[in-house]
Amino acid sequence: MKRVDPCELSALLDGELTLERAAEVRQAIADDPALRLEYEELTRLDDELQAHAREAVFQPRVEIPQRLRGPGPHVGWFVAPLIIMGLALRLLPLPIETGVEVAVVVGLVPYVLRRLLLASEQERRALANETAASPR
Amino acid sequence: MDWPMSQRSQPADDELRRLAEPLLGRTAAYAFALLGNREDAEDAIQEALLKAYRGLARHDRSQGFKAWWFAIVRNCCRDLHRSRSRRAPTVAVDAADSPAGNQSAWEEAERRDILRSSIAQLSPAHREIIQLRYFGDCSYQEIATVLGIPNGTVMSRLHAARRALAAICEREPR
Repeated sequence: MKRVDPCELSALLDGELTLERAAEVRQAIADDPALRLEYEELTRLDDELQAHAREAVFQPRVEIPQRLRGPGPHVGWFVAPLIIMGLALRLLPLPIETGVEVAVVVGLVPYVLRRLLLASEQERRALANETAASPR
Repeated sequence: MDWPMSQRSQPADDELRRLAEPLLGRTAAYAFALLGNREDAEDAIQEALLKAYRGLARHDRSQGFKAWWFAIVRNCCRDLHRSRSRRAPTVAVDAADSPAGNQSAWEEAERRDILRSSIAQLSPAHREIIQLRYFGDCSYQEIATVLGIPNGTVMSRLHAARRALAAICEREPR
C-alpha cells in the first residue's frame, strides 16, 4: 500500500478519492492512532464548517435577466411586395432578369427597414430592463 | 452541473434560469462570506446574473456551469468589494446571532462566532478555498477551475487551510 499523505485525509473527508484509494486510506486510519486522531479532528472541524455554511444559505432577492421576445419581421414583409411586383412586372414590357432584380430589391427594402426598426426597439427595451435590474 | 446537449439551443434566459436557480442559495452564502453583507451579496449576484446572461452563448461548456458561474460571482464580489472599500464595514446580524436564552444555543452561537472570526484570520488563499468548498459547496474540480490551479493543489491547499483554521480556533479565547 502506498504511504498515506496527510492531504489525503482531507480528500477522503470530501469524497474526492477513488474507491480503491479511499479503502486504503481508511485502513491506514484504522491502523495508525496518529492518523486516526488527525482524521477525527478534521471531521469535527468539517462538521462545524458544514453547519456554519448551511446556516449562511439564503434565497437572494435577485432577478434572472429576461430575454426580450419581440416579434421578428414576418416573412410577409418580404413576400408580399415580391408577389405584387411579380404581378406588376408581367404587365410591363421588361426583360425577365431585370424584373427579378427589381422585385427582389423592392421586396427586400421593407423587410430590412422593419428588421432595423425592431432591432432598435429591442435594444431600447433591453437597456430599460438592464437599468431596472441593475444593482441598487 | 453539466450542460446537456439537448438544452444547448434553449433561449439564454431559460437556460440561465434552469442552471443558476438551483445554485442561488449557495451562491448567496458564498457571496455573503466574501462581502460580509447581505445587500452587497445580492448586488454582486445580480451583476453576476447579467454577466452570465451576456456570456452564456460564448462560454466553453466543457468546463461545467457551476465552476464558470462561481468564477463570475467571485469576480463580481471582488469588483464590488473594491468599489465599496471605503465604506464603513457593516456587521452582519441575523436572528441566529441572538440565541433566545438556553445554554446550548449560547454555546453554539459562541462557537459559530469563533469559527467566523477564525475564518477571517486565515490567509487570503486559505480563506478563499474554505469559502468555495463550504459556502459554495464546490468540488475539487470546480475549485480548481474557479481558482485556475491544479486539482492536486486544491487538495493540499484545502488541507493546509483546515489545519490552519483548526489551529486558529484552538487559540481563540472562549
